Amino acid sequence: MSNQLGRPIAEVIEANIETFKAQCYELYKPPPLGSLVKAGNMPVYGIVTDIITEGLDPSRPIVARGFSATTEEEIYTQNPQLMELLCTKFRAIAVGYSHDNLLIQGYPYEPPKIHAFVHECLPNELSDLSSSSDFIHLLLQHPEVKDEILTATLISISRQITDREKFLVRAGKTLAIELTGQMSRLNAILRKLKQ
Amino acid sequence: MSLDLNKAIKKIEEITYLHRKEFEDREARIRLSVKHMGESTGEEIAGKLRSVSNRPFLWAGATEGLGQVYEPGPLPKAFSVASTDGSHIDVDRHMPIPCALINIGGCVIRYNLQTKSEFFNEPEVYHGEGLYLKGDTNTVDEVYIEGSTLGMLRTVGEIEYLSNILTEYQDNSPILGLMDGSLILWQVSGPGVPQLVKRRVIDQTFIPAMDKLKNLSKTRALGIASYISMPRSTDVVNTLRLYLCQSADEKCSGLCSIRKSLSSPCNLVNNIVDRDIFAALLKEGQRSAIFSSTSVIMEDYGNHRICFFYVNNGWEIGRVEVPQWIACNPDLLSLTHTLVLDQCRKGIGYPVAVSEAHEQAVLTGSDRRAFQDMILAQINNGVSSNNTSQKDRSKRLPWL
Repeated sequence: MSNQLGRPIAEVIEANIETFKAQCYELYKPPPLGSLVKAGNMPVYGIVTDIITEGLDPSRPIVARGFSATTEEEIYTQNPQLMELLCTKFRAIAVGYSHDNLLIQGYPYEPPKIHAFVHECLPNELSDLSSSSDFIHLLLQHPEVKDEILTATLISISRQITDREKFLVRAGKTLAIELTGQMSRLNAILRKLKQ
Repeated sequence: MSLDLNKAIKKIEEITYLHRKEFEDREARIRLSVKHMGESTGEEIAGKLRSVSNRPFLWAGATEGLGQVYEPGPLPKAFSVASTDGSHIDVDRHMPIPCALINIGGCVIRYNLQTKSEFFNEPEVYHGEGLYLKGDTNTVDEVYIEGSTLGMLRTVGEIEYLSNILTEYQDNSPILGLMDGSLILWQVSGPGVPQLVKRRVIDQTFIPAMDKLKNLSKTRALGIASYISMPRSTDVVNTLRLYLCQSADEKCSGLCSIRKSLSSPCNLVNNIVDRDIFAALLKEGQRSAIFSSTSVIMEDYGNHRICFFYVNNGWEIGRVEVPQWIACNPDLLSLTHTLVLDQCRKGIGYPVAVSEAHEQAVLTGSDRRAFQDMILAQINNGVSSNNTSQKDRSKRLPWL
């Protein structure tokens, strides 16, 4: 597994064993929903399950400003301070961690540190994750993960690895086992994966 | 029910009738005041102001007709607005270490420029010998920095900080330095303010900061102003009062108070403030004529005497104060008018940059507690002896 790092895209601001929340360095530039990210020097791997943009100061309500603007861009041109006072954050559910330079699927023994840098994962890390379906079990067990997010995750991974077909077949089989007795739910997910 | 509504309703009807009548009368007087302002000329006003010396109220200096109005100039394509504001924690005598804190916050908001907007704050802690203002030569002469003295240092610190920001500003586009409140530091001229405080605030801080800004304005498009929301001042109303007055100084002193006049025609403006007449005079975006402050503190301001105008920003009438070197420069004055107005429009009635500077400066209850807790934590680590008062302890731990 390569440890090659690019520029960090975010920084951890909240973390526990199951999830971590990170603040992006650039407004409206989060990793895509369902993508794999890693946090910290001894990386904790997580799947992006939610993206939020809000004010930096929670006590300041955000008000509509476009009453005289003709485009959305104009609102930001007229109010450049917004670029510095708003921030984009995302939540990731932990699906693995690094041990002896290997990606182990499962919850980490400790969460990433606050202020840990968050990077987008490299193709070889996605391949490591896709080599096993344990993360699907983790995601299905998490109450915050909706089926749409699971689907987005599987599609996202399949688009970035070489053996796409093999990965999706294995994922489908895992889902069939995990969702025994939930035929309509399973079919809905599989229909999405076929698209 | 113990309230007899039949009796109360008669009184309520009487009160509301009087209120309506008073409102209609006041509206009529405002309209007439505006008419008189429109008829006044600069020569008449200047002549009248020269002929009076002692009245029981403060009036605004003016060299143009009181009813003069001006449109804003074109908005520059790219520009910046810088602002500063301050907040402080006063000395708490129940704390084991006497100390005070001034937090100056600020921002530079850049419009249509490549560089990002910036936000910053700078806390300064005063303790030990630093809590005393001292004379340059006479070491016995000193003033403890707390209460109103701390407040004055904070206000003038905001101006000093703004001058530093503007000096370091690199871009060539126009920039406005905008503050909250008044540039007229009238508190400094109040009774009981020691000379030492006055010297530190005016001579050693305000004047050098303004000198720096004045020099900057010679080399670049720079506006400097402070904005007062919902002003209660009556300087211009009092100038109109003088314009209408036909009595000599001595007679006026017997018939007029600061607030109102007992004789006609000066009583036309009783209970009217400047913003009332400018709300009737100015259309959205327009500014008034330039007026000058005649506050006694102006004698110490040297080349930086304060002038002001009123502006209708579409939501309210605001008072904008500028140093006289801005007021005397038509380009910088127009730039200031235009950018202040634009700031109010962008901020839905109040300048955006001033709001943001406030957000950087403001000290919340939790900030104040954190400051005290940090001091106490350091003491408990053995840095100093813990002699918090029992009163402070009882406030922190109101045990049952």
